[in-house]
Amino acid sequence: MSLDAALLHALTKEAPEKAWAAIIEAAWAQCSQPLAKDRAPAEVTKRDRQVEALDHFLSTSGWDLWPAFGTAVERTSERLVRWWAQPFGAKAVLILDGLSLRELPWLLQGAKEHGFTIHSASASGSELPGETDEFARALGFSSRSQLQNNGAGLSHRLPKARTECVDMPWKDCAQFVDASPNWVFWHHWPDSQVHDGSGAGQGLEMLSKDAAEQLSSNDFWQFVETLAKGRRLVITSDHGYAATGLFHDAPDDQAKFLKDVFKSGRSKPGTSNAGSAIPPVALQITSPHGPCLMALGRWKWRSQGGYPTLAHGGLSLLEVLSPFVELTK
Amino acid sequence: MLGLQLREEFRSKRLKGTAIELSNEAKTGATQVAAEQFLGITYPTHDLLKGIEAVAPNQGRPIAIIGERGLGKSHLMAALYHAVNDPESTRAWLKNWSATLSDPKLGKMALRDGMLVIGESLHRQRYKFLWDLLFERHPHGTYIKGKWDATGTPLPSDQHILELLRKQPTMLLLDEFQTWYDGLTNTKQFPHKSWAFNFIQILSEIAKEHPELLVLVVSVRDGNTDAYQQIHRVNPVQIDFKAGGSPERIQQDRRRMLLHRLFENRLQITNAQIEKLTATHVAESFRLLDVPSSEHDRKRRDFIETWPFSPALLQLLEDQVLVATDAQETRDLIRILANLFKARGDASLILTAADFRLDDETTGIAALLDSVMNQHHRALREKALRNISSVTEAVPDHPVTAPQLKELVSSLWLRSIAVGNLAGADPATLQVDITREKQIDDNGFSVQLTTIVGNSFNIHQDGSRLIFREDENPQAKLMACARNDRMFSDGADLAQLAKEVRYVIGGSEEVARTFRVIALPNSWLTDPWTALDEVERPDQWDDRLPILVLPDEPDKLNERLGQWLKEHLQKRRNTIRFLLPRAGSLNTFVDRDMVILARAELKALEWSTQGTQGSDYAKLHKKFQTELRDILKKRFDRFAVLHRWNFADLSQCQFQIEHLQKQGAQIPEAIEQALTNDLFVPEDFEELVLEAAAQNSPLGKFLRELQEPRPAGQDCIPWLGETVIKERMLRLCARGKIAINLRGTEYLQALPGDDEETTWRRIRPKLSYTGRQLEEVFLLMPSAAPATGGATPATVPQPPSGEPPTPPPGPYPPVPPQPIFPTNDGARGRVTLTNPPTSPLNLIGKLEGWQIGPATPVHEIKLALSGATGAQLKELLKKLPEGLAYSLSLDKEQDG
Repeated sequence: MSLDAALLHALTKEAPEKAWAAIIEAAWAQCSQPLAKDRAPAEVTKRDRQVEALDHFLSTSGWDLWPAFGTAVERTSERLVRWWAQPFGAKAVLILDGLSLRELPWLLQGAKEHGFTIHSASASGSELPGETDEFARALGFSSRSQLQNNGAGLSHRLPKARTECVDMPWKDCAQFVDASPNWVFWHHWPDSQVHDGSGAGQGLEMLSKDAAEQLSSNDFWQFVETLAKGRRLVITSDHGYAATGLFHDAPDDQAKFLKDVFKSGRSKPGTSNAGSAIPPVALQITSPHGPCLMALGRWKWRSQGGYPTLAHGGLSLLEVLSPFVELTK
Repeated sequence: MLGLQLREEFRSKRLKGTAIELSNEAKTGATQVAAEQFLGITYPTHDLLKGIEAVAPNQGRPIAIIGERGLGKSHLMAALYHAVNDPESTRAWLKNWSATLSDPKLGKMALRDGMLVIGESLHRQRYKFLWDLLFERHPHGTYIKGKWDATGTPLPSDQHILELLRKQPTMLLLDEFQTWYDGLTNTKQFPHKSWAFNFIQILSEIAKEHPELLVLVVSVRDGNTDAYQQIHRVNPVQIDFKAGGSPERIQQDRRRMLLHRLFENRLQITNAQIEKLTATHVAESFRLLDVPSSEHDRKRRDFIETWPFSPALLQLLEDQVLVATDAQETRDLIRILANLFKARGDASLILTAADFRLDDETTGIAALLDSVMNQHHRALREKALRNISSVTEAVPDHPVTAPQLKELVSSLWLRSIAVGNLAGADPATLQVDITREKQIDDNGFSVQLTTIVGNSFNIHQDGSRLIFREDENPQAKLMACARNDRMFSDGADLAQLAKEVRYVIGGSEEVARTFRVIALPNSWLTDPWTALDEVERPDQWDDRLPILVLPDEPDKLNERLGQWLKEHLQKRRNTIRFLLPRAGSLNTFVDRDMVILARAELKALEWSTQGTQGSDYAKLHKKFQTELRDILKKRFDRFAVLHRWNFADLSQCQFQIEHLQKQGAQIPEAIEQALTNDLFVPEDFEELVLEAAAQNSPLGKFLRELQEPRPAGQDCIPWLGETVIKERMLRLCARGKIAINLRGTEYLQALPGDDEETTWRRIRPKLSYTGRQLEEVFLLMPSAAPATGGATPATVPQPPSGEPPTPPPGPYPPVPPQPIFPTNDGARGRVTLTNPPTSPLNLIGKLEGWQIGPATPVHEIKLALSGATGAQLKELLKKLPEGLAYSLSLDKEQDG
C-alpha cells in the first residue's frame, strides 16, 4: 500500500486527532474487507503488509504522533465505560484477548450470516503499552483473572456486571452465561494462540487459520447469541498483536540496542534511554499507566531463545488497535 | 428458575402499590424521577407509541387517555411527560427498543423539543381552577394573571392564554381530570364546573388550532363524562388501551409489558432454555388438550412468550377472573403475578393456576382476593380450604392417593371464580395445570381426581367440567362425609347397615311378627351379642323364629356353626336358621361399598331435616337406601339349619344347607317352606310324639326338648314354631295317635266313630295354652285317657319294613315317666341274628343280608373275637364310634 496525497496531507498537516482518525480509517479500510476462509492466511499476510506503509510512516517520519495516540484515539477501555453507562437495555461485553483488526472481517461476516444487527463497528485504541493487565486495570479490575466466576467485585467501572474469564471451548462458555442482565466475558483466545504459536515460525499463518475456523464456527456464534439474548453486545479486545515474524531485521547496532533493552519483549516499563537512532526504534511514552519505553516500527531482532513471531506491547498499528463491534440479535 | 429475577421494587416482603403518581411529596413521583429511571421500567406498548406520536411536532390534536382504573393511564401520561421534557433520553429509549423489537420505526420517531411541560394529578386538589395551575407553573403566569385580573372576567380569555403560550409553548398533562371535574360544585353562586367546562373548551381549541403552542393531554375513566365531551368536540386523539383494536396485539402488548415490568432480566433468558424447561408441560398440554399439530408451533411460541407464566394462566386471569370482577386490571395483574412468582417461582418450572395455593397467602392469592374484592370469592376460598381438609381427613393415605391435592383444588378454585360458561375446568385442564417436569400418569390422575371430588362437597359436575360452587353439592358432601371413617367411629354406620339387613330380610319391625331377624355383627364368631340391642339377645327372645344373618360365610361351615351354637347359645339351639351370604362375597361390615352406602343413607336422613337443602338430602336418602337395599336383597342365597348335633365333637356337627330362590323379605317365608316341605320329616316327628305320649310327657317339656338338638348324633327335627308344632300334634291327636290331657280339665282325643276331620275341627281351638300352662298339658297314649264308647287302639310304630312282624302289644299299663328319648329299649319285638367268625368285609355283607340299614336300631350287639394281641385290640377300640358305651371282657393269658 502506498500513501495517497490526501492521506499524506492529513498525516503531516492535520492535528493529531485528525491524523489518527485518517490512519485508523485507512487501516480499517484495509482490514474490514470480507475474507474467504480458504484464502485467509495469504490474504491476512497481504493485508498486514499493506498496513505496513502506515507503520513505516509512523516510525520513520511521523513518530511524534505516537505520544498523542493515548489522547487522540479513544481507548477501548474508555469507550467501553462510556457505552456501558448509556441508559436502557441490558449489556454484554465479550473481550477476546488479543483480537486484532485482522480478525475483524470474520466478526462482520459472521454477524450478518447469523442474523445479528450490527449497530456500530470501529477501531479503538489499546492501553499503552498494549498489555492485558493494563487494559484490566483501565476497567477497574486488578487483573484479568479477577473476572473469573464473577469475582470482579463492585469497585470496577462496569457496574452491575456479572463477570467470567475462561479459556474454554465456546460451547462450554455458553453454559456459563446465566440470565444476569449485564455480562462481561473475557476469553483468553486468541491471545493464548498468539503466545502458543509465537515460537513456531509460522505464527501468523497458523493463527489466521485458527481465527477463520473459530470465528466462523457455529459454536462461537451460538455463544455470541447467548450473550446477545436481550442484551446489546460489544465484541472487542484488550489489544491487538504484531506479526513480528514478518518484520524486517533491525540493523546490527539497533538490533543490539533493542535486544539489550527489550530482550524478547516489546516494551519496558519506566523511563529508559530510547537510544540514539534517528528515526528512533524505541519511544518513551507516558500513559495513565506510567512512563514506558516501547519498541517502535516494524523491526525484529535476534534474542535468546528466538524472537517471537507474534507479539504485542509495542508501537505498531495492528497491536494497538482493537475492533469494537456493537451488535444485537 | 433460570435465574429470572423480579425487579427490585417487587422483591420486598410486602409489595408496594404499583399505582403511578405524577408527583408526590417524597419526590419519587413519575415526573420527578429521571427520565432514564422511569423509562427503564416502561415497555413501548402500542398505546404509548400512539401517544408519543400524537405529541410529536406538527401534530395538532389534543390527546384523551380513556380507560378504567389500573390500566396504566398515569404511567402513559408520565411517559409522555418525559418524552417531551427529556427527548434525548426518550430517543435513546426508543432506539434501544427499536433494536430489541426489531422495529426500525421506533428509532425514527420524531420528538417535540423545547416545550414547558406542566403535569398535574388533579385529584390532589392543589388547584381550585385549571388556570391557577397554568399561571403558577408557567414562567410568565404571574404577568398574564395580572392582566386578566384587570379585566374582571370570571375566567381568563383565550387571548390571555394564547399570549401566555406564545411566550413559552407548553404541554399540559391533566391526570385524573374526570375525578377532579366530577367533584366540582356547580351552584349559581359557585359555578366552578361551568367555568372549568368553559376553560377546557378554550384550551382544547387552542390545542387544536395552535399545536405548536399547546399540547393538551387529559386522562378520563370513560368517554361519557362532560369532562371528556368538551374535548371530544375538537376530535382528540383517543388512547383507549385497545391497541388499535387488534385483540392479538392487545394481548401481546400487555403480556410483554407485564413481563418487562415484573422482571429485570426476562429478555436475557434464551428460548432454548425455556423450551428445555417446559418441554414436558408443553407436550402434555398438547396431548391432553388435543391441540392439533398445525397449532403446535404457535402454541409453543405462546409458552415461550409468556414464560414463567403459562399462557393459560394469563388468559384465565386477564379474560376471565379480572375482567369478571371489579379488578384494576393491569395494576392488579402485576401485583398478583409478582406475588405468585415470589412465592412459587423457585418451586415451579412454569407457573399455572395450580400455583395459587389456597392455604398459602403469599402465593398471590391474597393479592388476587384483594383485587377482586368479592365476598363470594372469599367465601368460595374458605369452602375450598374446607374441602381440602375434608379430603385429608377422609383419606388417611392422601399423600399417596392424592399427592397433588392442594394444587388440584387450588387450580379448580381459581378456574371456578371465572364467570360464565367458562367457569370451572375439565379434568384434562387440571392435569395440565399440575404437570411440571414429570408426566402425570393418566390413570393415577384419574384416581387422584376421583378421590378429591368424591371427598369434597363443593365440587359440582357441570357437563364435563368440574366447578367449585358456594352451595354444597349434597351428594358430594354426603359421600365425603360417608368416606370419612372418623365420623363413624361410634359404629353408627354398622348399626345402620345391620338395621338395613334386618329390614331387607324381615320387612319393617312392625311387620315381622313371625320371624326375629338378627343381623349378627362383624364379631359374630367371638362376641355376637354385645353389639346388639338387648332385645335382640337370646335371653330376650320370644316365640318368633330366629333368623340369624351372618355377615360372612365361615370356613368349615359345619364345625364353625356348631361351635358357635355351643359357645354362644345355651338353649333353643335347634330353632336357629342361619342365613348365609353368597359364596365369595365380602363380609357385610367390611365391604366398603356397603358401609359407605349405609353411612350415606344415615347422614342423608340426619340432614334431611336440617337447613335449606333438606329436601335434597331426603331425595338422596331415598336414593342411597334403595341402592343399599337392592344390594342387600341379592346378597343372601342360602340358609343353614342344624341337622346333627355333637356336643363332644363339634366337627361331627352337621347342618343342612339349602339354596334359596327368593330375595329380600321373601326369604323368611322361603326358609319356612323349605323347612316344612323338604327338611321336616313328619314320620320322625310322629315317632317322637308317640314316644313322649308313651311317657306321659308334659307338652311344655316336649316343646322345649324339640327346640334343642337331638343327642347322640340323631337327626334333628326342624323347629317350625310352637303354633305349627302344636297344630301338627293336634293332627296326630285327631288321627287318634295320641291323646292330650288339657290341665286335667279335658281330654282331647279322637272319639270312636269320629273321622279325623270331625275330630280335628272339634279339638283345633282347644289347645290355646302357652307358656307355663303347657307344663300342665300332658301327652298320653289314647287308651290311657278315660273314654266312653271305647277307644281306638294306639298304633305302635312299626319296625322298618322287612323286619319280622312284632307281636301285638299287651294290655296298656300306666307308663312310668321316662325321658322322651330313651337310649335303648325295649318294648318292641327282636330277632337275634348271628354269624360264625369271618372277615370284617364278610360281616358288612352279612349286615346287608340281614337288611340292617343305617337307621335300623339294633340292640345287645356282641362282637366276639377268639383271640388277638393287645395292639390289635387297641386298634379295634380306636375305630369304635364315639358317643356309644362299650363294655369289655376278655381272658388274658398269665405271664410265665
